[in-house]
Amino acid sequence: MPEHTVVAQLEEVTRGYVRGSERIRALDGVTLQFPAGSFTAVVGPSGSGKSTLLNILGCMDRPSSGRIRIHGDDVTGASEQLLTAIRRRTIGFVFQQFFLIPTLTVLENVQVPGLFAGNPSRHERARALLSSVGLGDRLHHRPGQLSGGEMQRVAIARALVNNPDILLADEPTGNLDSKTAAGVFDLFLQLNRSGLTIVMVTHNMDLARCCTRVVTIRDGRVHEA
Amino acid sequence: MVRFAVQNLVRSRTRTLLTVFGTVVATATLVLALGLDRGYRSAVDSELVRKTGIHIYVTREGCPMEAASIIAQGGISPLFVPETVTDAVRTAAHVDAAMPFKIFALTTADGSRTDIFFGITPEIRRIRPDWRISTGTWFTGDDSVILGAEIARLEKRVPGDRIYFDHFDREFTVTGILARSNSQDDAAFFLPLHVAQRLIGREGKLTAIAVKVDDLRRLEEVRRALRGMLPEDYFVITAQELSEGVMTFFASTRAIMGVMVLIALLLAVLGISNTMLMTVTERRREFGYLRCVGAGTGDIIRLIAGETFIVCAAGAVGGVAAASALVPMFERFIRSTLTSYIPAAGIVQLHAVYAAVSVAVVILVGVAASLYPALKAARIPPHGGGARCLSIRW
Repeated sequence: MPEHTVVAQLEEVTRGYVRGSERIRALDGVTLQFPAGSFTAVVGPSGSGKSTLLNILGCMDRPSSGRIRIHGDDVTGASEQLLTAIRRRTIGFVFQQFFLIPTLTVLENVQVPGLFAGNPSRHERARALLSSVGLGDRLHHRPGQLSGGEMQRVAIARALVNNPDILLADEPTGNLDSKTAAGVFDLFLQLNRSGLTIVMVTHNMDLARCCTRVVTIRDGRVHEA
Repeated sequence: MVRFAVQNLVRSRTRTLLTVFGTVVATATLVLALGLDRGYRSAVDSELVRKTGIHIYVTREGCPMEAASIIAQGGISPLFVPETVTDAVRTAAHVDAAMPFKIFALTTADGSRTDIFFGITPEIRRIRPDWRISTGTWFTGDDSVILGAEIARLEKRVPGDRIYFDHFDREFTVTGILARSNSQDDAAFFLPLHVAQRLIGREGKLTAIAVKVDDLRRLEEVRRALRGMLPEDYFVITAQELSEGVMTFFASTRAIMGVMVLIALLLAVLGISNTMLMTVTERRREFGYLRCVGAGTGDIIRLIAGETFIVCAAGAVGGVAAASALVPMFERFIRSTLTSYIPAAGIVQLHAVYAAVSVAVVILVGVAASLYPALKAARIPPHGGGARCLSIRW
């Protein structure tokens, strides 16, 4: 696969913690590539290292050893400033708990990443994204007035406001019933079909099987299907 | 960003309001303290220097500064200048006029009121151009009294009316009412000098001699001449020095006000710091999320500092408004507690520049107080740390 088509890449990444007297190896020599336009499901039991993988891939955490490349550039030892810029421009995040700010309206929540990126068209872009996820009539509602599925769709719109190259989703359907989860997953599929690279951590094997690729993590090691 | 900051503050309305209230108190205290300092200095300078034609006071040690303080509390100065000195003063070169006078204050038996009496001579008209009878005439006899404008209003007296003083168990006839001067004169009774001396058993004894020079450029020369002709225990002081002397008596009040301002500011700073620390603790996950979506250290610091700025600005503006409303009450309180000279004119004067300085100080101090919580928030790792905050990385 040509180098330029890989959005993100992990090379022999390890990540360890000390908790009390216990030494935990959350990731153990993980090497993975995430080609542009791929839709990767990361599965595995609780505590296997899925979320750690996502945090490192999202430049939210640094590996104990190994390398991370974004668009081919080694960002392992990058400054916090550069990592912030990467999180701003290159990566979109969707979380299980949505993390919507309760005092802001739906429209304002979606604009938040654009605010930090200094994106001048964030208002129009947020409106357009909310319409595309079916929430064009909910722009001025507060998160507390929305259902779980609607909140997650707002979170997805928010993750896309800066036009990222890769979307990282940490159990995005974990708090939703199966019907709503299917609706949210359909949205991911649509985004992927339009060319967006997606990495999704999930426990839901039915959804994982619908992805273009499934990566299983167990005890910090990768077992690719 | 401003709307974002405002919305964050609205989340905990009560806590925000309490923090704003603390800032209101700090600002109001600062504005009133500065207003008192400016007002008192201005009123003293106006009454003792600018409005009078008196250039020099000849007095004994401590007088008339001490006398001014004594009469403020009610009393009679124990120190005096013999009346005979007046003629010697008049002979000095470049002395245009010299007026001997006596000041004393007497408090009613129930302590409810203190009356200030001036014993004066006709020279007052030459030496004090601001001392002007608006209705009535000069004294017509030993039972005459001239009233200050405010005292005439309070006593509801006009020229020709009789007025009884229980201090002396004696009745006087009001012959004149002074034009209002917004000085201590407004609240005083004026008696012929020899009558005033006799009423308190101080015949031939003066509080001081007020001197007017014929050429202000020769002020220092006249002072040296008077100093040379009088015994060692006499003081020859200029009106400006008298004003500065009064200000030294006021120094303790200023110091107390300064301490009050510092305490109020300290409490406001602690309140702001505490509020922002609580905010950071409660919103840890949110700050972590904001870091995830691209908020840099500077963005988080600006967000916290912005929220603090809004709290401080609201409190500071409210503080200025509160101070403006509290001026009359504060002035009454200060007048009731001051032990130094109390001018009749307003002693608390707010000024736009001082109010602006107070607002700026409170905002700067407040925002500085939020820096520690802001740095703490900025150090929160992306995604709030989650379970990792319990762990040590290796």
